[in-house]
This record gives sequence, structure tokens and C-alpha cells, in this order.
Amino acid sequence: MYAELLCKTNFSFLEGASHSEELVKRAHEIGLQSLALTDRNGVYGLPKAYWYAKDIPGFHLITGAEITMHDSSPLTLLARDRGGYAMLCRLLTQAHADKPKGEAVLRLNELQETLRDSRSRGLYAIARDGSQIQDYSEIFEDRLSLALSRQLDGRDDERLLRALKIHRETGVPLLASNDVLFHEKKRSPVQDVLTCIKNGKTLVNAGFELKSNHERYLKSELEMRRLFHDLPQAIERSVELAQGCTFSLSELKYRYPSEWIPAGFSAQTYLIDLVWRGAKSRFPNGVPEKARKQIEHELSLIERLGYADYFLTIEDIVSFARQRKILCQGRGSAANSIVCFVLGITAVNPIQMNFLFERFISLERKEPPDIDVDFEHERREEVIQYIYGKYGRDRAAMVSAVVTYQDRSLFREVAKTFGVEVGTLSSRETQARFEELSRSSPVPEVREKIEAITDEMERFPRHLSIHSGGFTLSADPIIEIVPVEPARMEGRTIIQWDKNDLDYLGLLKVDVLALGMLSALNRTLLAVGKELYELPPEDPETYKMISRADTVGTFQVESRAQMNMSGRLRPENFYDLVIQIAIVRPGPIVGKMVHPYLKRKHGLEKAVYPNEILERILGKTLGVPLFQEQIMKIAIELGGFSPGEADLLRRAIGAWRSSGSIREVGMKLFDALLKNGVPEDYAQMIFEQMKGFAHYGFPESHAASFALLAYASCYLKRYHHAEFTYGLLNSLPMGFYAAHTLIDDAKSHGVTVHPCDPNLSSYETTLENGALRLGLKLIQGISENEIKTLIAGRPYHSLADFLSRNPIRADILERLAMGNFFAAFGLNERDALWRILADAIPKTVRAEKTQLDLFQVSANPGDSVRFHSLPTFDGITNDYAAYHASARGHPMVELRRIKKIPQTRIQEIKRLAHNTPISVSGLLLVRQRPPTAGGVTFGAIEDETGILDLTLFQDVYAKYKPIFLTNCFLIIRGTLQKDGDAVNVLVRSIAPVFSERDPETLSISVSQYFW
Amino acid sequence: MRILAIALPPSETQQEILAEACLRFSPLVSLGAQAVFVEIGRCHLLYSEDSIRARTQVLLSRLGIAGRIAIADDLATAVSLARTQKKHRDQIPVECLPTYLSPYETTDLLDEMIASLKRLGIGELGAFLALPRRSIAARFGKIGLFCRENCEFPERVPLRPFQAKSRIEESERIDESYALIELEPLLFVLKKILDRVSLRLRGTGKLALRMKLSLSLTPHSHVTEPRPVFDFVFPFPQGSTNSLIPLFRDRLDSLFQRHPLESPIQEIRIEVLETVPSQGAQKNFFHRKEEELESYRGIVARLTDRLGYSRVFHAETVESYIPERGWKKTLSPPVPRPTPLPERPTRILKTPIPIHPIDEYFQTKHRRWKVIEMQGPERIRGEWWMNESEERDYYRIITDGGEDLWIYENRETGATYLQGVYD
Repeated sequence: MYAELLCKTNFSFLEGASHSEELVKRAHEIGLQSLALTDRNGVYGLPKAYWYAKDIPGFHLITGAEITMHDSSPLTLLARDRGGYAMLCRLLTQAHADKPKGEAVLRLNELQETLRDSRSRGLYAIARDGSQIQDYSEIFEDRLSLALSRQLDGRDDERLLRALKIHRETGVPLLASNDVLFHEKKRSPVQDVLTCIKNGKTLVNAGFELKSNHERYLKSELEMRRLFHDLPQAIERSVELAQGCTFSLSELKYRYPSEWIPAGFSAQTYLIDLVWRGAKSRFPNGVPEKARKQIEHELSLIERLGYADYFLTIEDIVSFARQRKILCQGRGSAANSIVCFVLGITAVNPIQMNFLFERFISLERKEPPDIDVDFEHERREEVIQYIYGKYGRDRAAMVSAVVTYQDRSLFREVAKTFGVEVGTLSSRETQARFEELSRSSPVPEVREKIEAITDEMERFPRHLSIHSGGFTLSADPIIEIVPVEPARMEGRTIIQWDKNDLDYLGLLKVDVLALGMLSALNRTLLAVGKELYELPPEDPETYKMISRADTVGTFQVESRAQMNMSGRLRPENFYDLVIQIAIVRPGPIVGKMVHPYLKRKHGLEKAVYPNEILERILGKTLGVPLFQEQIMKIAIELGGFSPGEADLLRRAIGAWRSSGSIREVGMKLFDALLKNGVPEDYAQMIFEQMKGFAHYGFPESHAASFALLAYASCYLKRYHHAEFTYGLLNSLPMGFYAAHTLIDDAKSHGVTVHPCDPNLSSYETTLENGALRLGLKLIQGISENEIKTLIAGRPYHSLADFLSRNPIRADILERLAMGNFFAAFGLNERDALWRILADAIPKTVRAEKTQLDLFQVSANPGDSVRFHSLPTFDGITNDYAAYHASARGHPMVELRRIKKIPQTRIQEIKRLAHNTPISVSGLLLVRQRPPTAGGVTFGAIEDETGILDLTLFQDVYAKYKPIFLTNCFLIIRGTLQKDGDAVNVLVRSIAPVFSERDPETLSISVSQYFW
Repeated sequence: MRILAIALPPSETQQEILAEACLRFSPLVSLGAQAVFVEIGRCHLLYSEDSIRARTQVLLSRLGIAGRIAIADDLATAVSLARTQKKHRDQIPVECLPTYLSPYETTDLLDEMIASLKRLGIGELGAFLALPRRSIAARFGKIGLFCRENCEFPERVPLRPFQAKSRIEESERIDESYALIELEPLLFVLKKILDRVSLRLRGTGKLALRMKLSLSLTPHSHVTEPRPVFDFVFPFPQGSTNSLIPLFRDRLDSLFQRHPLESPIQEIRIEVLETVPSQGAQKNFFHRKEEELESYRGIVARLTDRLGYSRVFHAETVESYIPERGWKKTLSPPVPRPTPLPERPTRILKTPIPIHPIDEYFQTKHRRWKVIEMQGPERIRGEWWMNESEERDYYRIITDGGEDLWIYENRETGATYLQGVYD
């Protein structure tokens, strides 16, 4: 027997070259029964390895890590038992604490201090050489070993002599190891490339930084015994240590924090109490029988699975938010749960919507539930601080997200190591120009080699970042369950595992997410004096507005694609809106579900159902499966799947693209459908549409939760546009459109918008008798303190008065002057700028405390120089420079003076017939090339009357790409396309409005260069 | 003053050649920032302004330079009109104001002022000059004021005359009565010339990479080559007479033995054709290192001259595990560097010799060794990125004859080779 005890995965970034699953699999293949994964300063890859290894009978996965020691060689620690594992996590946390990211290091005294704890006996230690070995001996005693590897690099004898000397002097036993960096020999080139990336070298000039051979792979017992034929005791030592390590990650028994449950209650009974109280509140006229049954069913399942604490934790957080009047709402599969509904976590009644609870939790699922809650994005930090405050930083930590190498950027990184001179070209440009660039590489067949490497590096971790809003909470100190390290964001720490790892180990995660629309809605509701639940449901005018695609600023239905769908789908009720939100997703698009649904909605085609069951399941989506839950229900009711199996089917669909595991489960469903009398072509259609869900699709409950907010935002826009825009502007950045589009949209709906004013504007945009007054925070570059000073110094009677009391930076003052901020003092933009320039030098002198130069005479404030006002276009341009918006008007109004600009406005264009050739001009708002669109590019232009969608096929895009990508104002020629109320232009040609060769446009303004 | 300005494109590198060529028009030529100025005020007796403009245009065409020409009373206005092709001074864009600050250097000191003027709608020089002077000072400080002053009185900016750079050239005329035809007396005179050259090189902080020796022989009727020329190219830059004289001696000695001079020398000329900056350190008279370095360079120069460049080199280690690629030729003494490699043989065979292992022996066609001791293997892989897939297992063997050899086995083919010898 032999056990490999020093082995790095690719989570030893830029060093290890294999996934942890690959190492486990390979170890099993070559007959090793034990393997320790010992990544540098972390246990990152262990949950994935554990999840894989648990299905291999008799395979022993050992938990460990290599710790970087200060002024010494690294020390590897292996966890023998739970106590040892806790100590390992503490040490790793300490190594990372207060260090820059990626520079974890532990000092000897810190090691000694931490390991005074008796649980340190649960650790084995493996030293690399003699440095600090006496100290290690004192700490670890007979649990210390000295690693010896034979790498066949010509220095094995030297290493052996050193090791034997240390062994003789100290008695520390030798341990045979191959110090593994990859699972098999043919992965060695990847390790070379990683070394080059790490050191910024190419393969040709990396020299001795690369290994001299491929020997650092996982070797079998036979190979290791041959290598260590003269030192069998070193091999036996590995077995001895492996047998002494009995710890498994399955021992991580998770305990929720629960000290706040009232006396006399258990978690379950307290939950039951809260649930029935909540049910009374949700159903004031009595809890319906169906709801009652479902509640009982869910509570029973929760009790069996032991999740009561989790629900209580979420309920507590949501209650806190509600007390603080922070708008929040659960999303995702949690909306399938009536328990969540009555607890106030979610807002959609799943009984009414006929949702499937097993999409959320099931016995077969073997993983904990995942409840995501959205909070107002500006107040989410209050919720986060509440969690830290309540549980403490030692029991609450944020979950990490593993950022993996992306195709294009990976290609570029690898290409550099092959000597391809990519310079400062982006990843996209590198690939586009690769043929030309590859000539700089001395490597033959360089593209094939790069692609071979990038294929092997697919899904390799690059670094950890924060999983936005994801927390894990524990009754026990979190740093004894998983190491914690600093995130890049200041003040934040993350655990070394991501959400999938938590699922593998049954640890719970709470997602505290931020949603800008909740902030906007809360502000709007406060302004109109209503609560969210008080908004009248199913208002027909609201749906008409959505159908007209008049949805700029609203939630989920404002994007270009959604607007297009609005005009085609023409929602008339809440469920239509649910469908609209779900249907504009890659899943339904790839699964070819969109057109059939639309045809049936408008009566152009009849839905056909082979049997009643399918009619019941698919009836509400007119025979087209649009939601994962429908596939699950089909599987349950027609395929004989249990609810849990159906959920596995759903997961297999989701993992289709990466694992190809759908085939087995999908064929089972297909066969079951046929057996139940479903015609083959219908079953095939279902199967094909199901494959579409391999791309992203929404659960029905999630779409419904979002539809609630979408409806609310549309209702408020319809009836309270000024307040709605006020809410949006003060919640930026969020949404699809910039401030100027929101403002222009408001104005086009009759809302008056007043510009920023030194005496009248507040920090935020405000409402002034039904009109909007733009806020000072829109001023580009100004700090919050400067705004506070400005507001505090009011009223201002003149520009000089303003300047004397506001030490704002000269460039910002100049921008304000040109943005007509000082019009209140009777000065046009240039006059104001002229005055400000005179103010700048004395200020510099005062700031630098230098003597006034004889040449720097003070300006006479009454000096008689006057300037012409800015031309309107320049004025608008300067407004955009100052505020990223303009209250004066849309730039297109001014540009219509140019002869070549088509005079027809977008509003008029939209009234023309389908297939009409048109010419139109506007400001480009959006460019999109969705991967599901088959190479088609979409865009949107805006003028003073509205927004118009554009569609460019590949040949048009290729021809006009430089103009399309580098110009803001465009002249579009094409053909108008209409589908229902959806309007777009099939583009034939594009020309820039501004051209250096066109003297007329040059004469408009030099400020065109701003755009 | 009347100034003809030639505005050059930013990439133009022939500014000095153009300036030299313009000397035919006027002795007063000046180099500006991407411009050449020619003072033509006194040329009216020879050429009209139109004629000078036309001739300059022809000159630009012959030199292949895309320059623009304008004439004005001062440097800044002339070059601004040339650059912008405006007709009148008032129309000159404010972006040209830095030229009024100095026509000789580019500067960004006025960038902010220009941006502010443009925002104020002041785009031309005329509008700028219309602003009150006091208001300029108050807003743009003394630099703005200086600029304004120079705009009003641009003729105050003087012309900086251009001086063509001279090449280092020294010569010596030989008295006829001396009848200098032999090497030794020639070297005596050469030494004096080289002393002067060396002083000029040192004075200008340069070292010579290439020199030309020209001899003018007495033009007797039998002389077939009255002006022999000898080119000297040095592998290392040279600057001192002590290092140059042996080089000249060696070359001329071997040449004169084959082709003696046909008649006595009348004049000896040495031109330095190519130089490089020297290190600039003051000669340390108390330190021999500089002299040793000069001597070393002199010896290497003589060896390369005699044996050829390909046969005189140092061996410097290269970071490669592949033994045959582990070194390269270099002229400079290599800097010792630590290496992770184990001890390598002193000699590596250019072509490894195939050997055949039989029991404890290795043999070739002609020889046989008995292996007494073997260490290894050291496994070295090929550079896979260069399509070298082979792996080699190297062994160090001691034979019964006391030889210390380095052999390897190709793991793919199983073939074994002798590649190195330890001394």
C-alpha cells in the first residue's frame, strides 16, 4: 500500500494543474486507496473532491493544506480528526488575516500559540527540509514527518543526503511523496503554461523556471516502491499517516445559530407557531383547505429534513427589514413554498398559482433549500450589518464565488505564453487577429497547441471573489468549519468555499441580494403615499401601456428584447406578464418555444393536447412548456417519476451543457411518455423543448415574483410618472437606461423637468409641485461633502458669493458653468466660465500658501468682457458632460438643422406600414449581440420622440461595424418591420451624423467629439 | 525680418538634412519644433519670395519630405500659417499659441488655457488678442501673459542659427623628402594622428566603431592605386591610441607583405565613420581595471580580425535543460549565474555517439567500456512546444579505465548514446 500525502489541485492557483475530481478519479484508477489534497493555504478543492470520492467504495480522502511559513519552507498539515481539522482551519484563517490577497503567511510564534489547544494533537505535520524542524518537533512530536521526493532531476541524491542527515540528527521519520502537481503525465504541459503565466514568461524563455521533466504526476504504489526501493520505511510512513487520518468532511455537523428562539420552543415548534400566525394574516377570511393541507405537508417535510432553523433565520432577517421599512421580497424557487409565503418571505401565493413545492425542497434532493431574498440595493448594507451584528463575525461569513478562466481571456493568456505578441489587444481582438499575430510566435502549429491547452484548462479556477450577498451562518465558530480569508472588497471576508461546496456538505446559505428596483419602488411609494400591496391589481391601462412597449424604466420589461416582446405578446393579465418575463430568456428561445406560444396566444394556431394530463399541465402556457416545473410535472404525472426524481431531471437539464448527463434521464422520460400514449412526434417536441432549458430558463415561481414587481413598476409609471422617475433617478445606477433616457421619457409623458440649481436643488432629485428638480448628485465628479457644503451655504446671491463659499475643484466648476448651473445668477455659460477662471488662481495661491506672483493681478469682477451663449447643441452636450443628462432638450432636436439628417421622427416612423423603407436618425442607446441570436446584432436609437429598435444581420454588421461601434449619432436606412405592436428596423445601411469630411457638421460644434 | 517656415510632419527625421540643404538660400537657418526656419529678408537681391517658395518646394520634393511652407515677419506666425494653411494671422487657431510661447520647443503649458478659450468660443488668434491683457493675466497667470506678449510682439523672438555637426577627421601631410613607404615610419605618423582622433573622441564622449584610413600616394606613372583606402570595423568600440595602434599594425603588416605600397605617402587621413557614446566615466588613473578592459578588448579585436568573427567567442550558459542547447556564443565575458542543474560534463559532443549496452558493458564499433559505477537517471524531457516529444534518461558512468562519461537513453526508441565527458 501507498498513500500520496502531498498533492496540489488547481486551487493552488497557477501551480496545480488538475481538478480535485480528476485527482481522486486517477488515484482510484491506479489503485491508491488514500489521497491527501494539500493545496497552498487553503482547503478550496476539498468539497468537490469529497463529493466525488464519497461514491467510490473504500476510497479514503484525507484533508490537509500546505501553509506558507514566514522565512521558512512550507509546512503541510493533515487533519486526523475533527479537532485537528478545526485547528487547520484556524491556522489557515490566521495565515490569511490582515495580509494582502494571495500573500498568506504564518509565523512560527502564531503556529505555536494556536496549537497550544489540545486539539492540535489531531494534526500531522510534514516538513520539507530542516528549517525550523526542531521547533516543529517540539510542537508535533511523533506526528512530524520529513518529506522526501525523487523527481529524477539529477538532484535526488543531494536531497536524499540532506534528508538522511536531518533524520539522523533529529529522529524525524522520512515520508515518501511525489509532491504531485497534476493527475497524469500528459497534463504536464498545462503546468508549464501555468508557470509561464505566473512568472510572465513564454515557454521559450522560461528556462529553468519550468520543470526538467514530467514526473510530478500521481504515481502508483508500484512506481513509488521502485523509486524508493532503498527506503521502504518512507513508503510505510505514508500508510501509517493515512491510517491515522480518520477525519471526513461528512463530520461537519452543521448547527444553526438558535439562541434567540424563545424559551419553551424548539426550532420546529417556533416555526409552526410563526407559520400559522402568518397564515391568519395572509388569509384574513380563513385559511383555505388547500392551503392548510399544503402548509401541513411542507412543515412535515421541513421537520423530517431538519430545516426549521433555516426558515427561522430567513424569517428573522426579513422581519428586521420590514421593521426598518426596507422593501424586500424572496425570489427563485422559494416562491413555490406556502410556508415562505405566509412567513412574508415571498409575495406570490403558490396555491393560487399552482406551483410545485418539490421544485424547492424534496426528500430525494439531498441538498438544503436555497432562499434568495432581494432587498433595496441602497439599504442592503444595513441588513448585512444586522447579520454581522447578530451572529458575530466569527459565526457569519460571506460565501465565495470561484471565478474560472473564460474562453477568450484564457486563449489570450495562453497565447502569450507561446510567444504570440498580443500587446494590449483585448481578448476579442486577439482572437480576431490571431492569424496575423501568430507569426510572431516561434512555436510551430501554435494555434493547435494553444487550443489543446485551453481545452484542458476549461473551468480552471482563476481566483475567488465574493458571492454577492451570500452568507453562511453557524452556531459554532465558522473558522473551525472552513477557513476565512479577506475578499478584495475592503472590510469583507469570505469563506474558501462557494455555494456548490456548501451544497455538497449540507451547509446552509442565505442570499441577501440587492435589487435597485426595490429602492426605486420604495421611494416612489413613499412619494405617492401608498404601500405595495395597496396597488390595484390587473389594471387594464397598465397592460395597455406595456403592450405599447412604453416601458422605459420599468422592471424586467424595459430592455430592447422585452419591449419587442411586449408588442408581440401584448399581455392582458398578470399571468401573461409572468410568461413574458420568462419567455425572453435563452432557454425558451433556443428551445423554439417563443413562436408557437405567440401564435397560439393570438389564435393563429390551436394548441393540441394528446391527453388531459398534458392539457392540465401545459394548458396555462397554451401547450408550450415554458417552465422547468412543467417538465417536472410531466415527468411526475406521465413519466412515473417521484417528485425528487423529477427534480433530479431538472438539475440534469441544467447541467446538460457541461456534463451531458441528460441523455439517460431524458430517455427515461421520453420512453415513459410513449408508454402513456403520447404520440412520438409530440414526445420528441417535448424532448427538444426540454433541451432548450439547458440554457438558462426561469422557474415559474421566480418569474411570478418578478412579475409582481414588474406590474407594480408599470402601474406606478402609468399613473405617477413624475414620482416614478424621481424614484428611479435617485436609485441610479440601476436598470437598462441612463439618466438622460429616463428624463427624456418623463418629459415625453408631460413631466416638467427643472435643471440643477444652486439654490433650489437638493442632493437628490426632488419633486416640485408635480415637476422634477434634478439633484446635485447628478453633477459629475462632485463629492458628497462638497454637496453638503453647497447646500449649507445657501442662499447664494451671485456667482462671486457662491465661489467664495464653495471650495469646489476648478474643473468641476468649469463643468458646472458650461452646464448652465449659474443661470440663476443671470450669467450664460461662457460668462460664468469667464468669471470662474478668474477665481481659480487666487484659490490656488491660497491653497498652496504661496505668494501672489506680480503677474497674477486680480481680475476686475466687473470687467466688461461678454461672450455669446453656447449654441443649443453645445449647451446640451455640456449638460451631458456635467450631469449625464439635460433638462434643455434632446440633442437630436438641434441636429435636425443639418441637411443630411432625415426629418422624420421616431414617433412618426412607428406609424408607418410594415415593410416601408425608412430613413431615420438618432442617438445610439444600445448595442447587443446575444449568443442565442445566431450572429444577429440588435440596437436601439433614440430621438426626442422615442426609441426605435434596430436589427442588423451579419453582413450589414460586418460592413458597418466601425461606424456602428464608434459613433453615437447615426443615420439609419432600412425597412420597417412590424409584428403586432412590436416595431423595429431591418437595417440596410448606417452613416455617421458627424464626419470630419463634412464641413456642415463641423460647423455645428466641435463638441461632437464629446459624444 | 522675413521668415520662411517649413512645417514638417511629426514623423519626419530629415530635419537637419533639410536645414543643411536650406543653407544654399541663406546662412541664417534655424531648427524649430518640427519646423525649419530660413531668414530670407536679405535674399530679395537674388530671389523673390515666390521664387524662394518655389525652390523650397522643389527641394522638399527631391528630399521626399511632405512639408508645408509659409512666409511671415516672425517665426511663430510663419510656422503657424504653414501648419494651418490659413491666409491671415488673425485666423490662426488658438491651438497654435504654444508656438508663440516658443517656436523651438513643443510645450503643454498652454493646454488648459487653450481648452478654456475654446470653451469660451475664442477659437482664433484675432479673438484672443481682442481680450484685455489684464484679464488674461488674471485668469491664466504669467504663462498666459507671456504668450499674449509674444503674440503682440512676435518679432522679439530671435533666430537660433543652425550649426551642422562635424565629423571627426584628421590628416597629416608628409614631406616628400621623407619618402614614407615602410610600415614602421607610417605607424609613427599614424600614432600622432590617432592621438588627435583619440583626444577628440574622448572630448566628445565617444568611442569609434568604424574608421577609414586613406593614403594619398605620390602619383608616379607606375602607380596603379594612388589612393588606397582601408576600412577598420571594431567588434568592441575603441577610443585609445594604445588599443588602436596594434590593430592598425596587424592589418597593415599583413596587407603590405602581400601588396607593398607602390610609392611614398603624401597624405594620411583618418576618418571616424561610426561612433557610439562612451560610458562617460572619468578615467580612473589609480584603477587598472579600465586599462585591463581596454587591453582585453584590443586582444579580442585582433583575434577576430585574424581568425574571423565565428571563431572567437565565449561560451555563456543558457537556461535550457537540453544539454546541447545549454550554452551560446558571446563576445563579452559571461556573468556567472546560479543554476539548478547538477554537475555537467566538461565536454559535450557535438554529435552524440550511439552505444550499445550489453550486460555491464557499453560498446561502439571501435570501443568497449566496462561500467564500474553508474549514477542516475536524470530524466530530461524535450521541449514539447517545439514538437520535441522525446524523453532522455541520463546516467553518469565510471568505467574500468577510469573514464567519467555521460550517456543517455532515449525512452521512446530505447537507443543509448554517449554525449559527454567529465574531465
